Amino acid sequence: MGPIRRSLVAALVAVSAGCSDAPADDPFAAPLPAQCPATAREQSLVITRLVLLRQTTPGVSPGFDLDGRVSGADDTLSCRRRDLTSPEGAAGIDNQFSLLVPALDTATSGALDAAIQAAINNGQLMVAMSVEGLDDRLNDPCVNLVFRRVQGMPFVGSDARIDPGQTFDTLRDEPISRVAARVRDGVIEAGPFDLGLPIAVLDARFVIPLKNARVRIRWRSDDTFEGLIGGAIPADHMIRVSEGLTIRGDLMSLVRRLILSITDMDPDAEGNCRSFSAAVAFDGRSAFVNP
Amino acid sequence: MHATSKLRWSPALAALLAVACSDPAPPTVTPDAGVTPPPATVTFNAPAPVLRRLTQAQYVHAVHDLLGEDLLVSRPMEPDVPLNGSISVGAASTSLSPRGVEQYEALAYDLAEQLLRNDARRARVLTCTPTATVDATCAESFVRATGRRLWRRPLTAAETAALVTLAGNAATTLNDFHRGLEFALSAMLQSPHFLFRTELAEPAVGAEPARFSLYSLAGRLAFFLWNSPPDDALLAAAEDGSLGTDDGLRAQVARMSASPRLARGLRAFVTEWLGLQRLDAVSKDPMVFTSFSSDVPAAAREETLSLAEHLALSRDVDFREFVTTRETFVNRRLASIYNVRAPSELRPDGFGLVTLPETSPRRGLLGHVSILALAAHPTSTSPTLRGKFIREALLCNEIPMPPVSVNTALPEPSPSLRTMRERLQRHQADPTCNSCHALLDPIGLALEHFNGIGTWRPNDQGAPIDASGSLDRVTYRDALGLSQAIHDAPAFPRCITTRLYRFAYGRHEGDGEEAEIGRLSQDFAYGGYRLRRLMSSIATSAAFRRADGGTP
Amino acid sequence: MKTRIHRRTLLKGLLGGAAISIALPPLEAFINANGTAYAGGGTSFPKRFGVFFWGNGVLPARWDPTAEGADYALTPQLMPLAALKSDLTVISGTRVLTTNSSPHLSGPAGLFTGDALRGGTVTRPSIDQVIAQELGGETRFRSLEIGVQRSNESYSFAGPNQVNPPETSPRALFNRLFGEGFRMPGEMTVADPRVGLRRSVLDAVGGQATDLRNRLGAADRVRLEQHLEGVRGLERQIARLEENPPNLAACRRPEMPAEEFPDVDGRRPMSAISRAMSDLMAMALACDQTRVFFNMYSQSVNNTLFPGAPAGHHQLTHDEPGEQPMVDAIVRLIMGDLAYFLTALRNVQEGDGNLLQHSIVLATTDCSYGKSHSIDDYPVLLAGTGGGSIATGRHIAARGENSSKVMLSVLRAMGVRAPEFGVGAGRTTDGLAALAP
Repeated sequence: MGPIRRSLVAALVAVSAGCSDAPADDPFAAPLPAQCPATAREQSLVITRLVLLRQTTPGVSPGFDLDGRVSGADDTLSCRRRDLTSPEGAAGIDNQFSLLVPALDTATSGALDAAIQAAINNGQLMVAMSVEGLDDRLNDPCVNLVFRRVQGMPFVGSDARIDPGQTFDTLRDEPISRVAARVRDGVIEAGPFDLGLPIAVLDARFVIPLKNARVRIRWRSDDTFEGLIGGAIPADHMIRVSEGLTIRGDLMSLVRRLILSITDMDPDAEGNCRSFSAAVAFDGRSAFVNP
Repeated sequence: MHATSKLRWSPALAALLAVACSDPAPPTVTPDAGVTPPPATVTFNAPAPVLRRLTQAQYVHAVHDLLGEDLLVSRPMEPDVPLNGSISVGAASTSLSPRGVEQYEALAYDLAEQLLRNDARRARVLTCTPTATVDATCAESFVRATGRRLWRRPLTAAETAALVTLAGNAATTLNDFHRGLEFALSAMLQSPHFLFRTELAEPAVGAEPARFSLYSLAGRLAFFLWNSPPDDALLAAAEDGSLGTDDGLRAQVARMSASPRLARGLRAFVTEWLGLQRLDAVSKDPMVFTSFSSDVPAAAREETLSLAEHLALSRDVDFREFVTTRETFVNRRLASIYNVRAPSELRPDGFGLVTLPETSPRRGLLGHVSILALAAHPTSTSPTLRGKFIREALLCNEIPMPPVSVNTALPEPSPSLRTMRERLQRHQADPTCNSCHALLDPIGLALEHFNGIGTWRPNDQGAPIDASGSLDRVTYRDALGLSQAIHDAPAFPRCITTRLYRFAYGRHEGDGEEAEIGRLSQDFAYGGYRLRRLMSSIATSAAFRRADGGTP
Repeated sequence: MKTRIHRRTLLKGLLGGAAISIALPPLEAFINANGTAYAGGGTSFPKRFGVFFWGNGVLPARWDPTAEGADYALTPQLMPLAALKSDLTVISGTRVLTTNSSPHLSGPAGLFTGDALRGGTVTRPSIDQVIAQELGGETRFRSLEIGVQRSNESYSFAGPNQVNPPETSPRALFNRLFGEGFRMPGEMTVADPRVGLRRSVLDAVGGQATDLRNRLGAADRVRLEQHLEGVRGLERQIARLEENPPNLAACRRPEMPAEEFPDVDGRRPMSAISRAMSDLMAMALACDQTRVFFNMYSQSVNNTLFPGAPAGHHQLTHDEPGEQPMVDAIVRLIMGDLAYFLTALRNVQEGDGNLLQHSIVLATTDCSYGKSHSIDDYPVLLAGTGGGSIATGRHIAARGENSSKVMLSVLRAMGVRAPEFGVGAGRTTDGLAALAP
């Protein structure tokens, strides 16, 4: 379970996914442009831990309200998939992925979390996020948030996490996503946008497309970060990803059926949902990224 | 043994009158306005010269410079034993342990084998072709040429003959001329004439003070400036007597200063001055310092040495910048600890020059992992140790030992005593403690933002850190202010001078040498506090050539 | 009468190559009827002496036994030595009377040399070197200095500024002891001409040292004397390569220890290294490679991170509040390592007795109470009896006595003719009466 704090929830409740009705002279009220003006100041982080969220209490999971609705079992637009509630009690959380994770766990004999951490620690799966154009680390109405994979052999400390303050080079020929974002009370938020999330684990490389993605990052005073990424993942894509993980044949068909059963987003002409909602939590530490 | 009491040397055997010494005219330089030039002459009473054992670094340099860069010195060697924190002073007082004798013997045969069993390497030192298994003429040419380099002076006829005989007997026994030479070479490498630096005086002439023989002077110059034995050019200057003239001496010192080997002397000095050799044994608890790994101590040492070399030799600037500069050298590991972008231009050893941003809380030496980690504990900082380092190494204040039978307990962190400053209150409140600790703790507390391995932290146990204080009535708000206060303190450059003097002379300065150190210190200021220039000043000084004490 | 058969006379003519050893059946001249007696000098085994030293003191309240004599109860910090109680003498109450000017340093200096520190070093040889001066010529190595904490410092001094740096790598110790120059009893060596040549070289070097010495001032002369001593010692060492090794039944070439003992959780594995060193030392003594040793287990003022301790040892002695349970745990761990060491000696059978009985091991530290740096009530342990030369198996409360008395008793027990030990405040002409056998 990722470390989601109360303040994040406050931010969740306070900030809506789209426009608000705040007065015109509030810079935070204006809609974000596609890109914010860049200045010299930049702060980067590298993900040191990725947490696949599970419903430790049934019906409860951190995440985002991606579709702006609290869906019950009768909601056809969400293909009758019931929304979840966050640990702090917020309703409408879209994270059907949390139902898939235990199955993936079993199917990979419990090796998934360790495999992800190993991939991060040996440099295979290093995702950096950079905040560009930062004028005030606590409050800035317009910054750019950049996602990219970086390379290098990271130093890993005795706490089995990548050490802070390291410098990495951007991985060539890999997609870079840049999106406008806001910083409010030390929390960076962006979205909705489309994001390709690179995953390299168990000898497999993927880019998971997250549609309608949201990101929230809390920047602590000791320069560590915790955050949440959410979005809708196309089911067929997830099936291909799962086939890339070494899963026994009989279990694979189970996994496939399960993926198809959790779809709650992006209905087609016949009303069949093609994507499922997902959220992952992460910890990060400060880093420097060379372009 | 680390007693910090000042060593007092009694004057040498002969009662010395205060004798004026004259130095060659100082080089022209544009002094700061208001800085007066140093006096031309001062009194100087020095003790007798002593034998100095080669340090490990000097041994390795000797092998590489005199026998070949490609020889591997890979066997264990007698360790350097500091005395009162100084390796040079220790080298001037220690002998060889029985284990050390064994180790040098094994090394000697290993090196002889490496050199003489390889045709290309052997050709460097042996130009004649032996005519028989025993060829005294050819052996002699080898012994003379190599012995002169290794023993840093020409061998006497008797010494040469003995070694040639040795080589001949060995050649006979082993039925091989070159194998025979190995034993002669091994004898030269095990000899006290190689392992110890003998500094002999020439008999005094009239009222003039006794001076070192020219070969001894060549050795003193080379080991001081280069931390290595004299090269052929320096030996030649001793041989033809030019080293004994003011111009000849200055010419050699200028040549040596221009050589890249000057970096060796500088590094040996800085290592000794700041005690960087202790980094080998530094121990930190990985549960507390998760990003401290086994490659950090060596990297930290290299950083400090690189910066010193950069300021003193490459840029040749006011060396006081050592405590205020934003420049430093880091590899990827150190860049990570300092939370700065790793440099893009790297030396082959992975280090690169960086300039820390204006906003950086670090300046100069007091921001280096080397100092911050050494003057700390395995699990925490130690303002007392850091204050002691600044006092002793940078300001040359003597700090007495703590009295025995005193309760030195520091309270554990608690909700009412969170920061080090709060926990150290007892040192300040108790009059028994306060007399010394008032000199130490407040200064060390200025560095509390840097944890036990030198990483910056915003607070201590969640409480804000107050890094303000004063250094002998100069107040500062933080580490930057402290660094500036040290930079501006007159004691700082005088301390650098004293330590360099101690390194060059291999002894703690005595009362009779204070005037000379004062003169050099003034010269240091007069010359814009340039360290390269100070090294030359010492090397060309009349005092450096003096061999009082009556050694025949 | 020792019989030496020189290999050269039997095997003359074989030249070149490294010395090779061939195992031959042991010759009868070396073994007595029991098949166990040492061939040199009769049926008694040689006496050995050694020091086991650790830094930062003890907790006197948990160290000093109360009852005197043989029936004393072991205190908590002595409990790890329980199995060795009958071979152990605990001496409490002695005082190091020389000036206590340097915390942690004055105590050992006064104890081992009988004089205060001067100019940052000792003024005279330490007790182990005094004994080595007497016994050292009999064996391959005059004395052996080892340690567990990595350091180049020791209290084994041949004189002022003449420290004997300890060997702290088990592998390096093994190489030195049981590498090329080692001969197993019963092994015969083929004559190696290089041996004679090495001796000629050392002879020449000795000549150079003598020549140089005569031209130097007094202080330097002493230093070069030391060098000369070392050269002569090495010469004797090499000469032994051409003799038969003493036939000591318990002597075995031990297993080669690991090359590295990597840190565990960032901490040096003190106990593992200590055990490896102990095994090597026991065999070194059993094979009569030396009769004198100094084990700097840990240094004065050391800040070693022991397992389970939240801070360095020295820091804890000053900062841990109250009864200092962590300091206590560390002292007990060290005593456990001492117990292993002494047991390793005891396990070497020598005739009717064992190596420990034939030795005297002095185990001590750099102060009594670490927090106050006191050198009163100095913790002193003696293990073994040097072949019955001192009393054992008891607690001696020597309240207020000069610690030099213990040293003098030890010196005399080792057969050194010593009218006194120490100078000035540290001087005594009497041993400790209660140690008489």
